[in-house]
Amino acid sequence: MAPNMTPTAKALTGTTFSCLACLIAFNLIINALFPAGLPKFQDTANLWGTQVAKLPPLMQAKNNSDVLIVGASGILFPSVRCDDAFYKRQTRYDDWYMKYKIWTYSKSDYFANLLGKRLGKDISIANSAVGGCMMSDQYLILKKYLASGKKPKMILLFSGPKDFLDNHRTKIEKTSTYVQLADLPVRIGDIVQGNTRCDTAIPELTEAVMQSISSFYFYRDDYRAMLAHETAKITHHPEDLKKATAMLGSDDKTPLTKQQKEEAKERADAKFAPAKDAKDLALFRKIYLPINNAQFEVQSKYFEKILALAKENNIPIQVTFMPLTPQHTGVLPPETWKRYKDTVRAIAANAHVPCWDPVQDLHFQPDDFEDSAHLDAAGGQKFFKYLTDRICDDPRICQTLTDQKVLIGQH
Amino acid sequence: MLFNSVQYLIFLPTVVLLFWLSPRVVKLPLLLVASYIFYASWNPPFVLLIIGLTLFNFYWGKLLSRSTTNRKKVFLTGIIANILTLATFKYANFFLDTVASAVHLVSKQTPDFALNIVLPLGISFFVFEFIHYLFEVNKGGKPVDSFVHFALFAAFFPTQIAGPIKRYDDFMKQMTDTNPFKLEYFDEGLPLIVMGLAKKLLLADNLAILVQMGFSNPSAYGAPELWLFTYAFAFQIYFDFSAYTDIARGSAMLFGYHIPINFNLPYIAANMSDFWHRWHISLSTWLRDYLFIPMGGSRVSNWKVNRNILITFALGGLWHGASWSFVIWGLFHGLCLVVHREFVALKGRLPRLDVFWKSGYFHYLSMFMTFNAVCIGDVFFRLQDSKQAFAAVKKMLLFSPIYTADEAHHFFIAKETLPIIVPVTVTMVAVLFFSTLPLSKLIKDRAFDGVPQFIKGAFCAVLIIAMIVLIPTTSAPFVYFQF
Repeated sequence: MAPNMTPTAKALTGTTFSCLACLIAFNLIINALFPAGLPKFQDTANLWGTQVAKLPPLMQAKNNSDVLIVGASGILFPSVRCDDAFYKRQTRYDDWYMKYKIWTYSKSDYFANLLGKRLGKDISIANSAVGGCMMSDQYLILKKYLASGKKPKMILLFSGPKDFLDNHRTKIEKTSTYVQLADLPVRIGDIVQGNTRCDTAIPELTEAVMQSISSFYFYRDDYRAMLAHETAKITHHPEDLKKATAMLGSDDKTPLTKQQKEEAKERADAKFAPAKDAKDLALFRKIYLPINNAQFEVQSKYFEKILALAKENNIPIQVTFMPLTPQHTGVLPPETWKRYKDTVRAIAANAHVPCWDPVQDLHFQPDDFEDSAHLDAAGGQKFFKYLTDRICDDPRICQTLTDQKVLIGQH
Repeated sequence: MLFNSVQYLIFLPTVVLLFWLSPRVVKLPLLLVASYIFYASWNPPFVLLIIGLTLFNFYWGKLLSRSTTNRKKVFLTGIIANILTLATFKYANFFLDTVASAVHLVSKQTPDFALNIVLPLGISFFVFEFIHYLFEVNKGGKPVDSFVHFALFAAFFPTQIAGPIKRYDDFMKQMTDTNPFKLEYFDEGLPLIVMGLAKKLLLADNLAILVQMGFSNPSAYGAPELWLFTYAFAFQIYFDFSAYTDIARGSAMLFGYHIPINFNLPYIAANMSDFWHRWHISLSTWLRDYLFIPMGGSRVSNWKVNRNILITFALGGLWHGASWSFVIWGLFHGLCLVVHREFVALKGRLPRLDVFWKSGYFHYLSMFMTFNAVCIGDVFFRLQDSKQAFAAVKKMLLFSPIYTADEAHHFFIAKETLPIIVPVTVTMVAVLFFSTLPLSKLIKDRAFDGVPQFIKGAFCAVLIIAMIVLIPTTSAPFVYFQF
């Protein structure tokens, strides 16, 4: 170090500041390279079979899809059923299929094909719908999706009453989507803005800090596991003692995984026919009743935030009500059902966002549903054709999707 | 509270912040309280032991300095009191076990004399510091006036548990000096802490896995594998202990205190005497000053010098732990020193071979032999069962069998079914083995001294990031904590 340096220059070029500067620079580079968070390796496997399993790969995906679907299982199920029919795949209605095929599905190729044919251009669709998602979860998914550097030409938001009212998910910060995606700033932001309950604000903040510390341990374990896995592949040594013992103790070097065993069991007694007896109505009664008005208010706020976020990013957004069976809507008190629809329409109108309601134009038969809340392949095809018509009827949307460089969507 | 724990990562910055924010009069009492909290975090009642010993030695030092007629008696009483305390906590069970074994030999009955005494952390270190203090006062040194200063000398948390063993005159001088805040303290301290943590968490803890595998059942392995495990242990213990010293020195530096170095490239020592000038320097100099020299040192007849060396090192071995294997380890090192002394004398009688003695070949051969001799000693250090240790050393020296009986013509270590950590650590040992000499030479030649500080800072950042990813989920305590 030069002896004639000023004390400030000396301090700034010293080991302590250089070390801190390098750590901050490293953090900035990581954030710039991975805006949606560091890529996870082990985690995807751990989440396998959960409703949020699709989120890490969806966020890390590099391809920028033309259309982003945001919603819950209401839109996810018909996407899978229609795509299964489209690709002539045997669809299934068992739990294994739901856990490992539907929850992890992030496409809507049948719909993309319809749109592509009508527009005369290949259209790609990313399906970010997650089963059981509330509006707050959908907001977080959209926020993180956009933060990951991807920008769709259009967002399609599919809404159902369960997005606003769910007695099984009264704490927004406890949902699996939130646990998976929320980082410390998001959590603190929610506490500051009063989106999480005041009486739990301090414990929530503590938990958020603890989570950010535990995420250090998570990443550490994750990266160690990844390094061990890669080194094991090169050297042909087992990754850990457990696997070494398994190799020593068993002649069969490829035992069935838990997932494979589960699938084998499910295959044995799989029911290849939809259960349309609306047995799930009892479950929805528990989900909706008693009506949680406070939750409705908070989730309405998030609905508004989704529309605002799309506007901020200059992305046209369309809101669509998901069709439900009359038995399903009958579970809700009529005034709540009305309030739900009116609120969604009012917020959308306020944000100058179009709001489509297919049940006003189409007649859905009971056979179009696989249960009270999810369209089957037949219903899905009807629904997607309707959507395609609506989208293609609007020349401005068509121009956007076909890169005509005309700003649309802000009606 | 371990240096490699999250608690310490919170404790140290907190104390450093409070220390530099406090007015000067509060600084040292604050550091003393922090040191006692640090000690209490292990076992609160034992704080009373360190406080009690501090009080005793503080007043005994004053009494000793005032004594004229019965000075020797006062001095010896003080020394015996300290040794008795150490012996009670550290060696009582060892002594009773030895008596029980002797009874068993005679009567074939095994009496149970065990007292289940808990060994207080760091007792060997602070008792040695007290003994050193009494020796120096007895020699005419000025006793410490301030109790807080004296208490902090013994309890200073960076060195409290595993040294280095401090000298009171050096440390007291730093306490009485006015130390204004300087960023240089952080620039010097931080790299030491980061390097120490990296040595411990990245190297020592990973090597420990291989060492544990090998020494948990040494009879299962052939001679080459035992050499490999021994090399691994030699590097593990060096990185473990020098890591502790680095963190201790770095932590002390954050308060503006300099602590003596404890290691100086020990594995490039060209003979055993050189090795002990480079390994655990604070202990070897203590043993020299307060054990070897009072016994007559090297100013007596040749056989007495050799006897003094053997006694010093046998006791030095016993200081490490209450076990016969440590005594054997100490005696082995003592014996190596005696052999070296005699060899030096022999060299002097063979001037015709001077060209060879002074050649590079001889120098590198000496380094290789010294390192391997240290490694053989390490087998006794690591294996607490002396019989097992002798059997393992026999295998290593005879280089037989090459393969174990049940794994004929195959090294167990090369088995493909062993977890990935085994080939990784084996590679690590090979890299360390071959890089020690060139790296040590670079350090010796001060090749890194001219590196700009910001490069050092960047290197620290890289180490921190590497540690975040690579450190094991749980880190073992430092090896020298048990002493």
